[in-house]
Amino acid sequence: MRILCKPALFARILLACAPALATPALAEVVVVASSKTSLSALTPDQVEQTFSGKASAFADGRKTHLLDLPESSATRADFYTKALGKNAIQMKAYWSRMTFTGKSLPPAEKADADAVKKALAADPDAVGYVDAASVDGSVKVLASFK
Amino acid sequence: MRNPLRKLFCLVLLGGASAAYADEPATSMFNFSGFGTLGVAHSSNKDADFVNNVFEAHGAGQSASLAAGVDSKLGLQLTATPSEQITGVVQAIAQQKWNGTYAPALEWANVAWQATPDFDVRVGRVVWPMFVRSESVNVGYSNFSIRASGELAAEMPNTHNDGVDATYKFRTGSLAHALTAFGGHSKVHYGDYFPNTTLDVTHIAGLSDMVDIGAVTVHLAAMHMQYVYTAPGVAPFPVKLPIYSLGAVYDSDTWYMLGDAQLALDPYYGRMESFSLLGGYHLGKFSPYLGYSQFKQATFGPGVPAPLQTTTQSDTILGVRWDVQTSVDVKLQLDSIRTGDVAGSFPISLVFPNNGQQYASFLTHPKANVISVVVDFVF
Repeated sequence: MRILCKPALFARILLACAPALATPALAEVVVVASSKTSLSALTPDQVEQTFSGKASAFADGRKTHLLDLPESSATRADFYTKALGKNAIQMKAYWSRMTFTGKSLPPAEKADADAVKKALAADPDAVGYVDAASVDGSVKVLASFK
Repeated sequence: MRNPLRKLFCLVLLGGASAAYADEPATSMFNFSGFGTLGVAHSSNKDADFVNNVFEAHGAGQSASLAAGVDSKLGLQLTATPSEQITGVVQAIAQQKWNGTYAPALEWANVAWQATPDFDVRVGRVVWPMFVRSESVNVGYSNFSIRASGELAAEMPNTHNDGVDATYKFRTGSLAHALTAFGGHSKVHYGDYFPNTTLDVTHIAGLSDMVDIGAVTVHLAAMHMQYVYTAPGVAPFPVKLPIYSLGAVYDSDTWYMLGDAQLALDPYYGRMESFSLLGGYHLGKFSPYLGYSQFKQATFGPGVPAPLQTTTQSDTILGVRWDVQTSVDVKLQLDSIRTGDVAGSFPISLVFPNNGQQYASFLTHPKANVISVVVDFVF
């Protein structure tokens, strides 16, 4: 009986682990700025440099005001995995390092895609990301990650 | 340097306060953040104390079976951004000091001027930038393992420099450089194991380059300094010392690797070599890791008498990090420390309380196995 139970137990463990191991099948995530932005398309390398605070998205080097979604957002986890190759924990550790060296502070957090779009409309130097379904006429898509 | 740093602290506060009247949103003016570690360590060797660094007064082993003071600390930081070009940072850390107290001490206190998008200058208390992760050595949450390698820190234990650093960012092909020139001085006080012992480093001049090569960051540094070691019975005299270091870090969402190596060419004590390697794997919220670091005195200068001429220490570590929730991790780590047959002639991680009364006994088993558990947090 004990032997028979083992495969079942193994399967249950696998099932329990599956949500943690599998990448959630999410839609396309896009990097956006205000529709009035001077920015054109960003390369994946520029997105990585911009969202790690290492370089400006702008050609003249002026500070990019980065916007983030909340830590609980699936789009946020999806964006950092696809665009920077880092999971949420790594990004938290990364920004802790940046903060406590005084080099730069983490992006400003907005409640949802609508709040990101509102902030972009108010600040031409701001760059954020949203799920592709949230794109409307108020924003310009600079890069896309599937 | 205490008074100039206090002035700087006031300057940062005043700068922030005056700018607070401007139209900028108040939320971006000041940022208050903190980090900390709560932990205990136990060492198998009762003839010595295991310490995180040579500034601590008490460790695990002889002084205490279970020592909370080895790793526990609390750091608070105020970042003021009165304009996009000016940033002021003050960071104070309460952790065990040389006299056994936990009085907060300034780790950073500097004002940065972003002269151009690619060039910034910082003045005040800035980092001692000899390793890949030097700037976040105290922030447990941002680190892979519980503590930085004691073997690497053996040559020069300093973590900050009172002076100036200037960083220029540029690209060569696909490589992104952050090249820093720095200078200043740095004085540290050894823990009570070494009564009334200080290390006063002056004439610091160095270069460090942090190079991003895809997902790998490489760090190169060279530093020249003059130090005076002051201890009872030792006539203080200046020694000119060059040190060189090379390191790299890779951190993907599946695995990571961190390595540093340092060479010190000390005309008085001799040539010292150290390195540290750490690798780990991310398995969801768990990240098991394995590491090895070693300090070796390769040649001996006139400052090391013949009976003491075998100084090595190695540390093999095995640990796991558990990210309990965002901003909080728990780490469990085993350290297996082995020293040469004349351990402790150069202070590294194992030190000797009570004027080294049990040193002879220690030499019969010059090793220690240390188990540590910590909770790291940031806020």
